[in-house]
Amino acid sequence: MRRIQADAAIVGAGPAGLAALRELTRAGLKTVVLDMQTAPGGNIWRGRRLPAWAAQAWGDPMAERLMSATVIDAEPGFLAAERNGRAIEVSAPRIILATGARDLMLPMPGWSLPGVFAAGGLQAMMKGGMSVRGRRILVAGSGPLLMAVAAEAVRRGADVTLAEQAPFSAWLRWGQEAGGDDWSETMQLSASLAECDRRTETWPAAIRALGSKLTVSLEGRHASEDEFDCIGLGWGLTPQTELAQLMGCEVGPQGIAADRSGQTSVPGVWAAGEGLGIAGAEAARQDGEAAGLAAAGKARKWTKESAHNVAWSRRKLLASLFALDPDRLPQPDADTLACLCEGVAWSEVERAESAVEAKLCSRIGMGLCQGRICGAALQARKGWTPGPPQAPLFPAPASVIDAIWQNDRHA
Amino acid sequence: MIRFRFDGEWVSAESGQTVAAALANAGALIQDGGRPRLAMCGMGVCMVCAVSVNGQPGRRACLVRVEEGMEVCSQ
Repeated sequence: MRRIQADAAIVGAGPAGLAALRELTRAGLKTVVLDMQTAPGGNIWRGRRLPAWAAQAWGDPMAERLMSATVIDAEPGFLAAERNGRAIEVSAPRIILATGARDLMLPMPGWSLPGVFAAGGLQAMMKGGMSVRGRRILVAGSGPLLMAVAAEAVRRGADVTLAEQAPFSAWLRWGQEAGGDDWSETMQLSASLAECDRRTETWPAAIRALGSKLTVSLEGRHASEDEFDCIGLGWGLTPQTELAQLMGCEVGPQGIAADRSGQTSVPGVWAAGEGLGIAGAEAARQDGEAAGLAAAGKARKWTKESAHNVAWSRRKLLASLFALDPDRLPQPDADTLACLCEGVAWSEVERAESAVEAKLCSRIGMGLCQGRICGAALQARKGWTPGPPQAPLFPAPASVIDAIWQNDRHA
Repeated sequence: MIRFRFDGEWVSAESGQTVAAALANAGALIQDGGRPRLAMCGMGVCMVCAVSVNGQPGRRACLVRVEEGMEVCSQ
């Protein structure tokens, strides 16, 4: 067991976490950063060079960097993590949650086949070294992330089809609103997307395995039946709120509830970035800066253009442009798995009336992922609120859990 | 070039790759009853890529980088 005392702790080393780190280290506070990944940057900057300001914050002597660290239990002032099979406890009076977002997956025929990834998952696999050169790839679902994933696949030499359920006007409008964050990046994205087979108001209805290929029925405006090697699916992003909930923070329909400085309902706990609601990397950076300043006790001037307002107008716009049209979504059939961990079929939960009832009759949500995938899917499909998360938040070796729970704090 | 073992077979990979990406490149699948799997979220959340690494179960193949001689098994 390793015990660390710090002035502040940040969970998540993406744009929000790194921006908070910059403010905290500038204020001279010893700050621990924990992240499950092997390198900083979060999903958005995975495999890329960090912006200069972020690299500088990351290298600051007041920063203690703990990568490959998974936070499995927490309370205000305290985090417990597993790292390479060992337990770590961090005590810090200020905790900033920059836990990001994950793809919303909707169960559909064939979604559990190997070769079908979440859209962000496909991007992470490519950046993790999965070769897609010369491969046929489908990126389908909804939201701006699909464009980034499709562009990444094009740059790596894949033959890409991009299917978005929203109308073409959503892409245009988002390009106008968010394109100004980084023009050179936007131009590169457009150039890569020009090489895709782009289809709006189109969605995948079913995926079947045929030898090593995946056959997909695309429906909607540009319907077809096509073969692919790999598929990335995503129906928008879900804020990761489990750690905040475990710490007792209030969570609203958008994500973790917080004021404009990121202060949650729990004293000593701030939140920043996609956990608050989906708004993109620039908004996350601004949130992180606000939360870092607030946690460091520094007053700041708020203007109309400041973090909170920009981020929240982004959140509203994104939600409306890429709102899921129920008529443009794939439908599960009786054999479709609703829960991948426990192998629960959609037909087993379809007639239940709540998440709790479904869980009791089928074990849905009781597997290794703790319902992170199926819970969000059932919320989107059925309107069921997922049950509260429980520690340990991720599977960990029994020795790690014993070490943490034998601590006085949990006696 | 790095070599590691997956379910007893040698797999080649490039240094810096994740175990999940290396398995995908090798066309290998994680065996799980009758339902082979590979990976889904790619960021350590869904547990679809859970494998044992050097005897330690429950490791996420998407969060682990390949190392020479590493022993990876379907659980």
